[in-house]
Amino acid sequence: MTFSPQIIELIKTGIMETLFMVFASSAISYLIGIPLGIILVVADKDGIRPMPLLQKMLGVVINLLRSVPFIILLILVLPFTRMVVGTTLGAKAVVPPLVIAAAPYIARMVESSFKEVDAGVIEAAKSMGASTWQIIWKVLLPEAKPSLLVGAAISITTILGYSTMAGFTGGGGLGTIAINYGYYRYQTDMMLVNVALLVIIVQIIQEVFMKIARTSDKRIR
Amino acid sequence: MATEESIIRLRNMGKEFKTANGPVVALDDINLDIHRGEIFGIIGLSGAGKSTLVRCINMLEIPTSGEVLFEGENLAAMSGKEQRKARQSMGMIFQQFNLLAQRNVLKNICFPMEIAGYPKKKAEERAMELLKLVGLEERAKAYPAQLSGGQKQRVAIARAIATNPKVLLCDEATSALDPNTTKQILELLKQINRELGITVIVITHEMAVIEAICDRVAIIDHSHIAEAGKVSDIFSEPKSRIGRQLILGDAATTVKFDKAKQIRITFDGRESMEPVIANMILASKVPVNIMYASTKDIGGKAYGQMIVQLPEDDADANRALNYLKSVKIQYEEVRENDI
Repeated sequence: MTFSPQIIELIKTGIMETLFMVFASSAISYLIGIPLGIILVVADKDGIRPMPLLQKMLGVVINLLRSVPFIILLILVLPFTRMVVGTTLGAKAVVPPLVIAAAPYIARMVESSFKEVDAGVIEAAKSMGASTWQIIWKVLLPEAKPSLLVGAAISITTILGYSTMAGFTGGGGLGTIAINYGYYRYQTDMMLVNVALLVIIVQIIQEVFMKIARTSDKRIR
Repeated sequence: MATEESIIRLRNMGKEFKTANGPVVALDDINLDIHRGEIFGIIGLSGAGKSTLVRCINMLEIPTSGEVLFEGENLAAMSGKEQRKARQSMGMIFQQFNLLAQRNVLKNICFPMEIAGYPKKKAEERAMELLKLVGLEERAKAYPAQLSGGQKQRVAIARAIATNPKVLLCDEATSALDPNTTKQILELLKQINRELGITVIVITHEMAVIEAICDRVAIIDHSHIAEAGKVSDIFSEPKSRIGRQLILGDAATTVKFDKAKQIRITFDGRESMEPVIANMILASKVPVNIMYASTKDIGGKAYGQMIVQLPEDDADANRALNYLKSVKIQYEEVRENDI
């Protein structure tokens, strides 16, 4: 199994595009997802600042977005993508649909991480006269950090999985190469190489985040 | 230390929880005056409402009726901001310590000072002072997971008094600790009360805690204050049913004699100075019922017999019998018509 320099160049670009799509959309998704996750927890009827109506509505919107299969979302948001990025082709055009799919997912991951924070510790902070913001910044976020990092490993690898589907609408990255060469042109070797590369990227992301989560967690002696 | 001046007054305070099965009354018509500088105990069985009561004092739970006055100010009438400010004058410690797991000991103690807006350097200096006070200065950089239960509670106490509160609320603060550690923590609370003049309110289900450190006590039962007063008065003469149960224990009320075993104890010349029956009761912790007794003291020796009824519970009865066996006193079981 030998590859021409052009193919190797193509795969290199594919790797870079995949990394770009995954990390750009993960970053934007977290910027949106963390505040949403905070609202889901804090505004809960048993939360520190109950706003049940807002919380319910947000929950419904998140569930709605999460129930649309990504491959369909990809097509549905094409007009929006064109509006934001100016094109529906290439790696950049995959970022908006990825963010729309990942942000609600991340909001739920963040919510579950915050819910793990010991209610007693939050009560202690309240007993010291902490405000809602102080509880969010000084208790919820730092205490949930290890769990948030584990969640990030799961979320980012899921986003990587989503990004490969973008090949069907002319996106970019390794998934596109796998689909174009492996599926449309029956080049099984290309398919396998791309899949192997994706596996390696997933492993690295998973390991790195788990390691940071472990070393930053002070609950372990 | 204790004065007659009230620092906290509860006036007809009540708390009702709305649940799926309708409202549940947790506290009803609570009236208490807690004096500045004293150690005040609140005791009750689990579910009596004592944890809710202590949370009403610092408004972690909002009372649904009546009022809570802290230094004469009605807490419920305050704005959220004023309430948070008032809470900084009331430290609180918990059964489960509730330390921040991701912060080391020093940073945990700095936490309430960060909230109150102390400059970082001043907060750390104060935290070191407090660590010295609770005897943990060498563990400043340790994380809660590396500490024992007693050490965690010491850190929690240091944290609770960091902002110089006037009141320290202790919610079952020793219930997760072994007896020895409990003693040390109670000593520390006493020391804090004495040396810093902080009013301490102790919530517990253990009579021993009240006995060890409290000046006055309130007994809470089924959402009501059953009785309140000086510990010495209540201990010597509990007036309420729950008070007698807590102080005298279950024995006084629950031992049944209906279908009990009766035994005949024969005295055949033992030292009459030896209080056999009293010793048996003390050793076996089982009350007995004397049905009939005819004993004589002849030259310092006891002669005669006694019919004693043992409790219905077999385990209790056997404990009493085992004691008699162990001190070699003769006995035989008798039927009712044998007497």
